Amino acid sequence: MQSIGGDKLRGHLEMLILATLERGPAHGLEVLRRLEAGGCGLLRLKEGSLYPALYRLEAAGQVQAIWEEHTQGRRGARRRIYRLTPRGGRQLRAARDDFERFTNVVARILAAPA
Amino acid sequence: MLNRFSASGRRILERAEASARRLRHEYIGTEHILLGLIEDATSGAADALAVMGATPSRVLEEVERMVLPGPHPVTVSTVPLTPRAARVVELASDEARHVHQDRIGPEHLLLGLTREPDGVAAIVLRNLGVQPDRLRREVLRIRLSQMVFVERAVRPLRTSIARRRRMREELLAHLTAIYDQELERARDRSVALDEAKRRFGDPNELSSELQRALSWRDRIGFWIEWLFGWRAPESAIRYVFRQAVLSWCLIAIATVPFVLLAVIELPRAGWSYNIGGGLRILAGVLSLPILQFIMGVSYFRIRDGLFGVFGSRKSTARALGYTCIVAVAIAAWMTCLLWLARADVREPIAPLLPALVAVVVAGCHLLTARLHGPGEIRDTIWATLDVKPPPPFADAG
Repeated sequence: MQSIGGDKLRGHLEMLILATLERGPAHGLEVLRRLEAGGCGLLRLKEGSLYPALYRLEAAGQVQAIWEEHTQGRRGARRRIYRLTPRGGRQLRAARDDFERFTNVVARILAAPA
Repeated sequence: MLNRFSASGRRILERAEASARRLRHEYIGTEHILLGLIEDATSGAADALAVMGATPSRVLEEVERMVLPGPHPVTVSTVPLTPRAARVVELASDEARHVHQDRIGPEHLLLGLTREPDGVAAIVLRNLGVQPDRLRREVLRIRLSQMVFVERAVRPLRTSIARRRRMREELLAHLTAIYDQELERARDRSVALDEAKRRFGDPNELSSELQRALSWRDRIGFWIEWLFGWRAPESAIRYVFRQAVLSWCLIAIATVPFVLLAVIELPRAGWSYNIGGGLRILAGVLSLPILQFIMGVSYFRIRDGLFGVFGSRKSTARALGYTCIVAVAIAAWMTCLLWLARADVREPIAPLLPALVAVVVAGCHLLTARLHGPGEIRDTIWATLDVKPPPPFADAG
């Protein structure tokens, strides 16, 4: 199976991030891990590109980020934890409906006999 | 205290204590820490020193030349640090914090040793021709490389420094985390670093993507800070001078209406003492930027003295000295201003008001340096990183 990358991925990245955050708050690395697990490793994304998407979501009020209080004995720097806001939840629902409608239409057209 | 150290850092302290016992000293001084560092082949600190010509044998020779062994074996169960060695640990802690690392490691201890210039270790290293700046670049090679990579993406962004600070920290944390993952796999630091950079993506592309994610608010913040804030890598004096000039221009512009008013009133009211007094106050206010310059330069001296960075020795006495200079300058300026304003009135000026204002303002100055210093220092370290990519074919010839 060909991997999914580039513009195709970037277009949907924000929606995918909102979906992973629905499961619970996470920092950047964890969001990537969830995406990779969900996409069976077929999502080829340069890890740094996650952050522009997160910052756009933050500016739009769809996610909220706070620095974690303590590193809980873990070695390393403090991380920024992102969580879904109510507005983000609404956006996610709207995006899901849109995507379902879109895929239904495209599937119908693709499946139609010549 | 030991939990401030990484595992390798703790090993160095153990070796330092062993060196002290071997030399029959009842204290751990800076020379023992240095001996502990060169004996540990795994830490990379010894390698960095060797690269600069301070091989373990030369260091040992130099230390033994300067320090005599003790008269009898050490019987105490724990050997304490000397005050100077304790200061070295504090300086090491600073070094770690400057590069966003939370545990003190061998590399930070080595840098701490060079920043305590009167210690035996620092003298030994100086005698062996070790330059602190070069040592820092060598010892923190991987860490600085990670920071430079992140800075390539963040520096061109038109946003406020607060935003930039957050991005630097967050992106560095991510890069470090994937570097640690790759290190587990590859076991070689350079390979792991290259792989982590590859996974992370091209900083220039990331920079354009990040810029697109910024709002107009960020851009406004950027331009305001460009006008009034520090423009890396200008020197502190140039920055304070530029601010004072800017201040003077703003004050001059603000006083234009009053000057015009005075010019209009003059033919009608004649030269009354009111206008004379007004002009005297004007002169006083226009001299405010001079006070601002003195206070600005003193602020950086205070800050650098409190934290021992950018060429200053860490010295609270020095910081307090400059705070006093600020207090005296403010008191003098206020007294002159009051005297100018009331030159016509034959009343002695109560010294209490200028003194009180001076003490309060100078105290706030010191407090600001203490609270904002660490953040500012980190910002400066980031902003002065050399992010130019090395020229191609650098190894040719």
